[in-house]
Amino acid sequence: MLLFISNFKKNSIVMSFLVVVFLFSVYNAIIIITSPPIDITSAPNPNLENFIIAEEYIFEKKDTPVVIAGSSISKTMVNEIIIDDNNFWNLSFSGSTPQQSLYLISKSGTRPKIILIEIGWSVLNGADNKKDIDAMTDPRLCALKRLLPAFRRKYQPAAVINDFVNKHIFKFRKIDKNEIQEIIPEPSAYKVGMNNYMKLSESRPYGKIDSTLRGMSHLVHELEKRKIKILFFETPMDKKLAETDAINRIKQNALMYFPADLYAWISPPSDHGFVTTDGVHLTHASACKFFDYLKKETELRTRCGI
Amino acid sequence: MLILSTAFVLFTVIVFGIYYIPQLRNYQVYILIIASLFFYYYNNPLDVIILLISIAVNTIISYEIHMHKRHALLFAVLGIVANVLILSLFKYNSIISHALSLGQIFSNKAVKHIAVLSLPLGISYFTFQGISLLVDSYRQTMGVTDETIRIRTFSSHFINSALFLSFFPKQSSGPIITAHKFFPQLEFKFFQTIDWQTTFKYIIGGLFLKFVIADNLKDYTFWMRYPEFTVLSSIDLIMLMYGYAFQFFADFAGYSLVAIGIGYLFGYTLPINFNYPYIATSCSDFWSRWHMSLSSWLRDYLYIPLGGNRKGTIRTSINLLLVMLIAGAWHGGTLNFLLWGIWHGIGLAAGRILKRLFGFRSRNSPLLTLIKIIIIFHFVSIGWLFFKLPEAAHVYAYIASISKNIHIRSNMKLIIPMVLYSSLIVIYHAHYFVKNSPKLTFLHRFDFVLYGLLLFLILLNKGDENAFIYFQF
Repeated sequence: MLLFISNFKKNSIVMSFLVVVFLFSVYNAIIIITSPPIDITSAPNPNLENFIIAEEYIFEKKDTPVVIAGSSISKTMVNEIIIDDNNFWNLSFSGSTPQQSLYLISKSGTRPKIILIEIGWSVLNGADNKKDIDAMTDPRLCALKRLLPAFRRKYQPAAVINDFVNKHIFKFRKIDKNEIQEIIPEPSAYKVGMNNYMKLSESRPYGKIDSTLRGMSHLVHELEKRKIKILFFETPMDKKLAETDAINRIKQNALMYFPADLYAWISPPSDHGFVTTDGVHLTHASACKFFDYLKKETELRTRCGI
Repeated sequence: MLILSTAFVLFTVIVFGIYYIPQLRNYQVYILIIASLFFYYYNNPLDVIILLISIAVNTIISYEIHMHKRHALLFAVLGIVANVLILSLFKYNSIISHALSLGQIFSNKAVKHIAVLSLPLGISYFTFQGISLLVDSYRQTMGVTDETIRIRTFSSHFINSALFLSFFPKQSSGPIITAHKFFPQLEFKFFQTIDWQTTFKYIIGGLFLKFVIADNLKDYTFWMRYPEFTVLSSIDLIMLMYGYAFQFFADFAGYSLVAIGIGYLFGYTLPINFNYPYIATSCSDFWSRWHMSLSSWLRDYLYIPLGGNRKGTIRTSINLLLVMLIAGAWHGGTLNFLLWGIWHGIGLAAGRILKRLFGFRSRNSPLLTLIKIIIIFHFVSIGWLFFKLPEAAHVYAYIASISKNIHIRSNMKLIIPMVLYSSLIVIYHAHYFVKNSPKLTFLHRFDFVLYGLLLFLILLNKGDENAFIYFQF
């Protein structure tokens, strides 16, 4: 047939596609048969980790009763390490606002009993990427990923190799919650983080605060129609940051959209024993302590026996 | 419309379909011009005006050069000045508006308008191609070169020049093709003569470099931002610097390969832009392997006219420094780009002097070659810091942090995957040394396995989409 093979050499294009089909079939079969246990925490970078957490929620954890919607600040309560309770799934994404998590829950059509929404600096995080969530929750793509798990992000060949290298060559062990001890934060990192947040506050980002909270309120109202209970929480932070103009403005505006007489608010515990690495992000030990507190407060305020 | 986006693929398929309809063969050039202008319009409607101005200026002046041999030099100089002015207005608008506001010649409103001008897509590329059209027309008119730019009537020259300056596959970030190489290719194209094999290899190779290597590495090199990097360990910082060097190569070489592949689809051969750049053993070797279409443009239209290496060591060094300074300024109007140009200018000049001093005595042993490769790779990688970081002070802080942060523990979670992705680029470069080995020629028969594997990785290991780094220039 002259049309397409006029100057092909030994049909190597067709052969290349056959190689792809062969490799993909073998790889997919291996994934289905062995289901390699990839640690979410070993995801090579925060961006990929976000995708894996989201896909894990869509494919494995969609019936979890309590979902945490937040950012890297809440993400310190790491799934499957610090959150060792099957009733909770932390759907927090680094670099995003909680709006991103709410949008995912809304698009995926799931109905958790409770959503815990982080309110704090994350309101000021970068633009959310609805396009990725739309693609991820597309029913046809979801069906394809169920059928062919090799398409799931956690099974990317590089992620699988990375997990293998971590476990078997460098012998990295998954952190055990019971062994976590408090650390003293690196002073220079702490200073860099504090300066960043102080600068952010000084930039008076009032427009961003309002637009994010407005977007969140639309999603909250939509999710409430599904009879999902919404709770808000704040995480402990450095005293200086807690008194900044930006954080006060975030709290004030949030209370306007989500008044305390209509929504339960979980304030940070009065105990100041929490340690952060940069003024805002909790250390592993403090994140453990905070999760226990959050869990207790959630049970107390909802009385729904999660 | 980002190149490689779904919209771009659809656009290319439609244009390709129309282009090869036999009944429309006489209109192939027109089809490509309309498609290219649409591609440009889709990105930013206002940018089309700038492109059309550039086409008009360069067509009229190159035509005048052809028609008036006596005044050819005057027209050529006028044309080059016009091109440089247009480019400078957009590229250095903040500097120009600042200077104008100090001089108080123009109203504040006019100055503000200049300050907010956005950079039209690919202006740096079509400006250099415009200059090439003028210089090649001049050289041809003066009998210095053969007649490659055939000028019959003004209208046919206008159409040919319009395609030369706007051809969409190379429009965003090159490769820069010169007029004397493009114009001879203006002829009827036939579907049957498409080199599918080469097209396929270029496009798949490019997609792999961009999607699998560059788009994944960018999620790590993201940490190279001030002040966050100041708390990373020395090893992390060095690995990030290498990672960025590999990301930059994969990003730009990936784009270039795809552009060349699409060029082939439409019957045009665009110049190769990269030739194993990180195995370079000297700065001049590096520039004969990196962004080759730019470096050859700078050599042919700037370095040689300035006197090249014919006027003694000092003059050669000054020429090299000047050319690289202009190359830096071409990339952008910030101090960092100028410093990057000076960095490479010094490297080139020092390389020449060292070669004069020691070149004839040194033998090229494999160990010495390896040492040279390592030195040049580090030299180039440090230079990329001027691209990655927005301020010279940040580059200084980065290098200072490398020497200060030895006590901080390195983050293996960051290093392992970066090594994984970077190693593919290292393997690609190592391939240079064995590619012509007679013992391995039988492997060429199994190229399809390699391309199948690349496609497999594109399918399953694609990173998060990101614009090409070079689009900003």
